Amino acid sequence: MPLTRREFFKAGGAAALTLGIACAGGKGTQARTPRPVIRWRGSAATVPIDPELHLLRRASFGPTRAELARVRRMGIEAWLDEQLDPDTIDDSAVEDRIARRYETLGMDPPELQALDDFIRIRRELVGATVERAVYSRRQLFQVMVDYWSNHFSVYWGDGPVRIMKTVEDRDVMRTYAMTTFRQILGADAHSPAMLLYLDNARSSAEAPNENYAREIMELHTLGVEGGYTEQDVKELARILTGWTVDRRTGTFTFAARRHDWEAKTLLGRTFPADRGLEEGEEALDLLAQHPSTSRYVAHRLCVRFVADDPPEGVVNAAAQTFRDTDGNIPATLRTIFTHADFQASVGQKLRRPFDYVAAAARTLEIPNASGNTLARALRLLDQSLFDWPTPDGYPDDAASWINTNALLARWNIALALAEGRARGVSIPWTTFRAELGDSPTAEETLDFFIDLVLHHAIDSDDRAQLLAYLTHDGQGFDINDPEHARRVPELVALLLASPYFQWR
Amino acid sequence: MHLTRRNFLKLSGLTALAGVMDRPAWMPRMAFRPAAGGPAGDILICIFLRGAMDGLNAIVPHAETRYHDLRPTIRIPDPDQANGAIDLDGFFGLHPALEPLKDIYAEGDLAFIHASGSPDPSRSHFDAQDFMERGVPGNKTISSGWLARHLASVGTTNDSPFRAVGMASILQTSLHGPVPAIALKSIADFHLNGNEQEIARVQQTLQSLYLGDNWLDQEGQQVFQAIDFLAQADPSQYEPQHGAEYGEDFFGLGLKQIAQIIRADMGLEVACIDLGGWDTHANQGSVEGAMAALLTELAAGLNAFYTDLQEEFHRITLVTMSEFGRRVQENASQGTDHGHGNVMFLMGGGVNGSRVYGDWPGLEEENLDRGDLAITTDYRTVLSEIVQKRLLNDHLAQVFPDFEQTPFLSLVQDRSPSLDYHQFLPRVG
Repeated sequence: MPLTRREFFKAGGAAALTLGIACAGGKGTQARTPRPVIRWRGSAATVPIDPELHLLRRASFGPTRAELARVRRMGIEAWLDEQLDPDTIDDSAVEDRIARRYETLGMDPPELQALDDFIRIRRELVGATVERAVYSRRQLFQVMVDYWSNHFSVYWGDGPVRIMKTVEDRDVMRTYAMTTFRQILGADAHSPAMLLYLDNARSSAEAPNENYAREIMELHTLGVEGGYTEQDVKELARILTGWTVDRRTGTFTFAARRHDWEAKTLLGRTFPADRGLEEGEEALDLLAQHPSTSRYVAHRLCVRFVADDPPEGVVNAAAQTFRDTDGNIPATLRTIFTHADFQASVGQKLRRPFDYVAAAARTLEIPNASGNTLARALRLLDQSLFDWPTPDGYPDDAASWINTNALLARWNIALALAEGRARGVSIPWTTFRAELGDSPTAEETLDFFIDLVLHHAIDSDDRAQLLAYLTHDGQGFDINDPEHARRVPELVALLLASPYFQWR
Repeated sequence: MHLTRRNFLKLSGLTALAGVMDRPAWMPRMAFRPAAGGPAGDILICIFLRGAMDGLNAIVPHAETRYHDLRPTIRIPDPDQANGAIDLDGFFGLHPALEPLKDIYAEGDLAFIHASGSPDPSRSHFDAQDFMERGVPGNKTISSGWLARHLASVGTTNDSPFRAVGMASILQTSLHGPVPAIALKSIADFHLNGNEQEIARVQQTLQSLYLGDNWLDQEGQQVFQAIDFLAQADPSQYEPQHGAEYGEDFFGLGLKQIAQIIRADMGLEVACIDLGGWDTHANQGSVEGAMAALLTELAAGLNAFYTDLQEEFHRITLVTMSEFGRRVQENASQGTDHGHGNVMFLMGGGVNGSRVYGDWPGLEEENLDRGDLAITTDYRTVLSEIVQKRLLNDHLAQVFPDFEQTPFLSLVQDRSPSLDYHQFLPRVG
């Protein structure tokens, strides 16, 4: 007999409850495990063990019926091979459409400057990013672009970043997302958006600015416990003096006269005097090859893809691959997605706001959805793209953003989408209605939408509750009766708002 | 006559009893009261100034020559100069943008604790904020926040779902822990929005899907509790009083809503709110500029809150903190880099105000901590005194584990439990 979710909690869930209590009460101060892991055991009961579905939930912006069928047909290995080599995937349908509609994406800094319309620049970048997430066939690539945009986070609202983020998105994130870590780190260090955002552009020998130097080590490479000192921050800042932006072209330039030509010592290595740009490149090499970096990047990737507090095994394996391959990104990802810890991590991640909104549009098979309308939903969830003011990027652990306010906002977004209150985002009801046949029963209707939205069967109690809603407590349901038919969008909203759809 | 809080209380004859027994016409009738009573002690408002506020330009040590020498372009002029600091005690002065706090300070309801902060040497915003909010600098093994541990250890019968509120879209780390806290951005919008004919059933059905024991489901149950509770208590009905004017910025609106929750008597014990943007590495400004704008927002919010809630302030303590201070010497970008010691604001009816506390370490080279203002008062000493004397929680070792307590600075008065008026009233019926 299948165990219902509630029965599961009565039995196995007791352990979770005990842990929760152990961390509460008077001894709460001694809790030693990070909080989210303690509190959400039992979630596995709501998310089935289904390797293909699991992979699509994690490595794409959400499963669709078609993509799930495709990965089942071709197999996980082949799907990964394809996705880890995005250039082999023809994505012209979505890219052509975006190029036609969003001219600013291809502009260089002077053109963007001359346009003098940062509202439009932002609208196009955000709209394109969301539409790529929803419609691109290079799903894992889009996921990684988003990952790196947070790893190397810049804040769009910071003055000139309003223009330069468009350039950075194109020339750094989308150019190097699937190359090596050293390449994307280097591209980012030459990126006007980053140099301006973290003040390196204004740093000079007379007045070194430590901001960027600190964040490279703390947030981009070694991690805060990676073994560097305050002195290293100062030394790296001196090494990077002169890395700035050309006023005329708006591109990277090395300003020799702003550079500190004295000798420096970084992480124990001597950087002799009289060297310019090349010592900065050497410092980036040193950081990219540092063992702390392999662990830090591997850990951060595993937090994104495996669990908020990922098991040592998968982190170590990913760090090992990272070291063995000189920071090859696809190879490191392959290690993660094929690791046993990944397979075992079902029900240990929740969808971030961007995942949630994109997954809803994908699973409902909405054609030509307006990226900007969906982006407005992200604003309600307080994770508008490129809008995190501090350089650590949007936090990846659910405890940082799942709270009363955020959950309620998700539910209201579900209602707005399903009730057709989001302009330019239309659910193809006619298609679904045709698929349902002439007069489907309440149960057939319910199961159709459960499969469409969730792609798996749900707990029998929960199914009964939804059926009770659809039939208004057994009073009946006739989809051809308009009074009854208006319950269908509400049913879809309930599925999108349910706990099932929050898990990633 | 300028109506200050103390004058108001004098005028109305009695202190705490005034509002209860002779309800002035402007005071709306209480719509709701949690069954199990409110907080044991004061309501605590915690303001986190994210990004590391430059305490030296907020509460200015104007009598220090080194202050003026090390900050040639961003310094605040002396009190006797145009646009100068507003002198507090002959040594410290308020940044001119903090002018709205001058009377509160003079009134005795506001104090500052200078050269205070977290002893951890980290100059990382993220680490330092995290340490400060968890209340365990340098310790990464304790995951709960200090306020959550206070809520868990204070003796209380309060079972309101609104014991702790973070006015934010992201719940503050200090509230993470065993006692559930509400993250709330807007009272007015806190309900489900949908097809009117169906919404009641939809809400009921959705609630039935969030019945599990896991963390997500519990969070969901809390949303429904909060929706119901807000609908009953209806805090939006309480308009600001005494001409208090909150700004339309998030900080002002947040404080306004905290005030409404306090007036609606919903059992609030702790509220957190943030004001960010203090990371002034470049173009910090002096009397005017980026930092002055933030100080203006801060002062306007505090002034409105104080004005609005004057008859409630006997049971309110408000404290500000920031992850670290900023370097004494300004940098070449007319800004300041990450530093160490900072200043805390402390406001409330029980505060021994009109003073700048702290053992001032001085700004001579030998007094500095690696070029930064040294810390002579651990921020936990300040908070511990509030927790014990105002929040009536003696379990300081649970709130701040691995902190060796040092003598309190007599920042606040002991809150007398006799403020509970019930014991003075005759039993009726």
